[in-house]
Amino acid sequence: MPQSPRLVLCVDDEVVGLQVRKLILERAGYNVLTAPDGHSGLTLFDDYPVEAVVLDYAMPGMNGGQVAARMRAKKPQVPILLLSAYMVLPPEVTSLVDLHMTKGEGAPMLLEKLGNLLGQLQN
Amino acid sequence: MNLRQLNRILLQTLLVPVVALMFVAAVLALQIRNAERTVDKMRKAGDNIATATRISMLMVDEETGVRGYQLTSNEIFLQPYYFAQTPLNDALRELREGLTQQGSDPRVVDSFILAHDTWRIAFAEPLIIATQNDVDTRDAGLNLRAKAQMDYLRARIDRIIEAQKVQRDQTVETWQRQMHETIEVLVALALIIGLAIGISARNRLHLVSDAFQRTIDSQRRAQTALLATEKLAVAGRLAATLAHEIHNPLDAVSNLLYLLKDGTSPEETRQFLDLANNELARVTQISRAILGMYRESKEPVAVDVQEMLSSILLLLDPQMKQAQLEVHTTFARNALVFGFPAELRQVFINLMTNAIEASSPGSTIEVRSSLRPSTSGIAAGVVVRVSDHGSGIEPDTLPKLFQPFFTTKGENGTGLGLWVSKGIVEKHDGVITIESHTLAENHGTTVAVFLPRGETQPNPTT
Repeated sequence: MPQSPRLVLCVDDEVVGLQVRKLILERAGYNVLTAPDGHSGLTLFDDYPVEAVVLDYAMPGMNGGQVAARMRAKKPQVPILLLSAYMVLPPEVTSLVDLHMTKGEGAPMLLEKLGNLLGQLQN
Repeated sequence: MNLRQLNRILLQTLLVPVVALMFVAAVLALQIRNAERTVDKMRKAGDNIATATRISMLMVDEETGVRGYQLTSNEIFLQPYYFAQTPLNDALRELREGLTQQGSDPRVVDSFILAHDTWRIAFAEPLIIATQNDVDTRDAGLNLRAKAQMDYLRARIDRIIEAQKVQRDQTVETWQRQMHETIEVLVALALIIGLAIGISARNRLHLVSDAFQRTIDSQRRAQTALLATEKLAVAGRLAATLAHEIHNPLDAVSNLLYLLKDGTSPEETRQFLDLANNELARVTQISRAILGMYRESKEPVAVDVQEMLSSILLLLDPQMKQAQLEVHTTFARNALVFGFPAELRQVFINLMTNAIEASSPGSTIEVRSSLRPSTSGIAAGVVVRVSDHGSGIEPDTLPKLFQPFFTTKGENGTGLGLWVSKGIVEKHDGVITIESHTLAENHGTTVAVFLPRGETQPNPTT
C-alpha cells in the first residue's frame, strides 16, 4: 500500500451496493467518500482532493456519463472507473472514462482495476 | 403482377369482345349483301313480269285497232294501233334488257320480236292498206291465220311471264332460306362468342385474382415479420432493464461474500448475511415478474388488469426513477378481462414506455383503470388510461400514430409500437384512442384502451 491512504469517491444510487463497495475499498486501504446521486457526487468531487472516482452509470437525474463529463471538465487528471449493470454502454460514454466494467464481476476485479488506474497515475 | 401486366389483361378483356363483335358484324354485313342481291333479283323479275304484261296489253290494243278499222274503215279505230307501236318497241327493248341482266336467255324476246314483226308486216300493214283501198278483207283463211299468229304471240309472252314468276318464286324461296341461315348463324355466333368472352374473361380474372392473392400473402408475411420485429424490440428493451435489475443485487451479494470470506466479526457476519438475503430476494422478485410475463397461452384466460399493471410498473420502476418520474395509480378492483396476457402486457409496456419517453424529469405519469358497465350496444369491460404531461402531439401528427414505421423518436423507435398495440387491442375486440394537448396549461397525452370483459372467448378466428 502507498504511504498515505488514497481518497476514492464512490457514486451509486444503489444504497446497499454503495455501502458494501465502501467497506471493500476501506479494507483494501483506501479512504472512501460516498454519494447517492450525481449532484452530491459532484459537490464532494469539488470539495475534496479526490484521487479516483468509482461511478455508477444508471442513476436517476444525472447518469454516470453526464457526471463523468462534468468531472472531466473540472479535474481532467482524476481517473474515473465507470461501473454499469448494463452489458453494453454507448461509445460516447465509454470514451469519456479511463476504464469501465460490468457490475457483478467481483471485488478482486474492482480492486485490481482501481489499483491499475492509480498505479498509472503514479508513473 | 405489376401495373403493366394488369393493364395488358384489362386491354385483353376489352379487346376480345370488341374483336368478336366486329366478326359478327362482318358476317351480318355479308348476309345483308346477299339478301340485297336476292331482293334485287326479285325486283327485276317483278319488273320483267310488269313489262311482259304491258306488252301483252299493247298487243291487244294493236289487234283491236286493226280489227276495228277492218270492220268500220274508220281511221279513228286505227289510233290504238299506232299509239301502241312506240311503247311496244320500248317495252320489248326493256324486256330484252331485263332478261339479259337477269342472266336469262334474251333470244326468246328476239324471236318474239321476229314473230311480232311477221304479224305486223304480213297481216296488219297489208290489211290497213287493203281497207284504205276498200279491198275486201274478209278472207276467212287470212283472218284465221292472223288470229293464230296473235294467239301464238300471246302464248309466248305468257310463257315468258310464267318463267319470270317461277324465277321470282325461286328467288323468294332463296331469300327466305338466306334469312333462316342468317338467323341460325347469328344464334350460333352469339353462343360461341358469348362462351369465348365468358371463358377468356374468367381466365383473365383468375390471373388477376391469383396475383392479388400472392400480393396479399406476401403482405401478410411482411406483417408477421414486423410483428416479430416489434416483439424482439420490446423483448430487447426489457432484457436490458432486467439485466440491470439483476446485476445490481448480484454485485452487492458478490461483494458481501468477498467481505465474509476475508473474515468478519459475528455481528458483521449476521448483518452481511441479512443484506445478501435481501438482495437475493430482489432477484427472486424480478425473476417471478419475468416468468409471469412470458407465460404465453393459446387460449384466452382471465387477466386481472390491476395485477398486470402493478407488475409492469414494478418492472419499469428503474426506468421511471432514472427519468425522475412519479407514478400515480388509480386501480379499479376486480377488473377482469379474458384475453392473452403476454400480448396485453406488451400493449401496456408500450404505452408506459411511450409515456416515460415523452415526459420531462420531475413530472408525473398517471395509470388508471376503471370498470365500464355495459350500455346499449357496448359490452361491459375495463378502461385503462395512461397519461403523461409531456409536450403533447401536434394535431396533424395524431392520425399517423397508428401507422407502421411512424415514429417521433427518431433512431430510437421502431415505429411499430402503437401499430402493434392497436392490432392486439382490436384482436381483443377493444378500442384504443389517443387524446393529446399541446397548450401550455394542459399539455400532455392520454392513451385509453378499452377491453371488453369478453367472458366468451375473444374472436377465436384471429
